[in-house]
Order: sequence, then C-alpha cells, then structure tokens
Amino acid sequence: MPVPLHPIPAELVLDTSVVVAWAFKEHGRVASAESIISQVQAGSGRAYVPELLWAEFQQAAERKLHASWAARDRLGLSQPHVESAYQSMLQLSAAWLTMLPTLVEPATRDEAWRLRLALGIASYDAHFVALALLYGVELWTFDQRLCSLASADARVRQSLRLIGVDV
Amino acid sequence: MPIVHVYPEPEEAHRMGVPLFVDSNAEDNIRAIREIERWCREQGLARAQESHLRTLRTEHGLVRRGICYRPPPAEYEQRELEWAEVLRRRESMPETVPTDDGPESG
Repeated sequence: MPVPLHPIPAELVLDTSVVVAWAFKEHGRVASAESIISQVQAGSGRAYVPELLWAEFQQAAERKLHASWAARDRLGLSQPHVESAYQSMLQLSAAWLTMLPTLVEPATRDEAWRLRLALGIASYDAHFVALALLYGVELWTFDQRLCSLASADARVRQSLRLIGVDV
Repeated sequence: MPIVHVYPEPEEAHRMGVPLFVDSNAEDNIRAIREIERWCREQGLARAQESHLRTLRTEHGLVRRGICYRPPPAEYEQRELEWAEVLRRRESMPETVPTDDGPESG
C-alpha cells in the first residue's frame, strides 16, 4: 500500500472544508482530501464530526449549484452533479464518520461560545474546534482564515492541522 | 475506568448472535461516545450510531449506554459495494474551485 499523502492519526476531527473538497473535487485540494477520506474509509483512523457538518455541507453544495452565471464556467455545477456529491456524502457519513451532537452538548456548546468571543471565529467553526479541544485531537482543515484567527490562542493553534494545497 | 459494564460479554454475545450493552461513566454524552467507540474498536465491534446515548442509573452509578455488535461479513461487503459506487460516481464529477467562505460569511 503506498504511503498516504497525509497520514492521519488514530483519531481526528474533520472540518467541513475537507469533506467538501472531497465531494466536489476542489482544485488544489482534491488529492489531499481523497487521501484523508480513503484512510478513514480504510479504518486507519476514526473521524469525528459534529452533526452541524451537514448544515455546512448543504450550504457549500447550494453555493456550488447557484454560482452566478458570470462565474458558472469556473464554479457552477449542474443539479445532477450536486445531487451526486450529496449522495456520496450520505454514504460517507453513514458508514465512516462518527456524527456527534453539538448544540445541545454543554461540553462543546460552552467552549464554542468562549472561542467565538475570544477569537472571533464563526460559530460553526467554533464547534469543530471545541470538539477537537475536548477530545484532545487535531482538527484537520483547509480553512486558512480559521487557522489565522485561531493562532492567537496557543492551545487552539496546537489543535489545528492546516492541510496545504496538493503538490 | 470509563467503560464500567458490558453485557453480555462479547464472546457470549457473539455465540448468542445478539448485540451487547456497553456502559460508560464518562461525564457527558460525547465523551461517552468516544470511549465506547474506542472500546468497540479494540474488540473488533461496531457501535450502533446513536448520537444521544440513553442515561441510566445502575449499580455502577450513572452511566451512558451504547449498543454494540459484531458486524456480519455482509455488512463489510455492503460497505465495499457502497464505496465502489461512491468512487464510480465521483468519476463524472468535474473539478471545482474551492469555496472558502463558511455559512456565516455568506
């Protein structure tokens, strides 16, 4: 078996940016995302995600679909392609991702609130970070903005793994 | 020790062809899920994918109960088929431009 592009740890939290890059074959990210998802599928590591991953994924899917006509040639996708990505995500989440509740869980809810206030990161992002902190594992993400904002907090910075562009 | 009780024992459950209860005394739901997931992996078992575990008071104290089972070969075969389907479906997906902005910035 070839050495994976990004060997994953035994446990990790996956950011929505990773599954979106995988499902929609995002340029510059797809090879890395495929490497990570394939390892999760093969059981090399356990991937945890908050249930609100679905809300973020749907938002991203809707944006892929409804890109402006001016941008459609480079960004827009047809309805069947978006539905296809949605089906792939359904199968991925049913079999290989551990979905965790977030908004009703005090442990992550309160930490996410603290992180949002302290670092100015988005609420959704804060729940992913809070989950990673709670479990003491890394959050793997393509989100440079999140990593930049989070760099103000040493504990958060250490829990983030920014995945670079494909090489 | 977060896993405080298992019933029946995995070997017995396997022999009987039944799932088993795995009780964790972790302090909250998502910590309990993680502990039960870890325990299942060590045993070669799978956890039923509940996201809210039932909480109950037992002789071992307040616990959260997960349901685990030994996946039959057919489940693995089905997953392989599904993964092959995912890979087939992805062949026709065009490459797209990354979308970085999350739902709150749109």
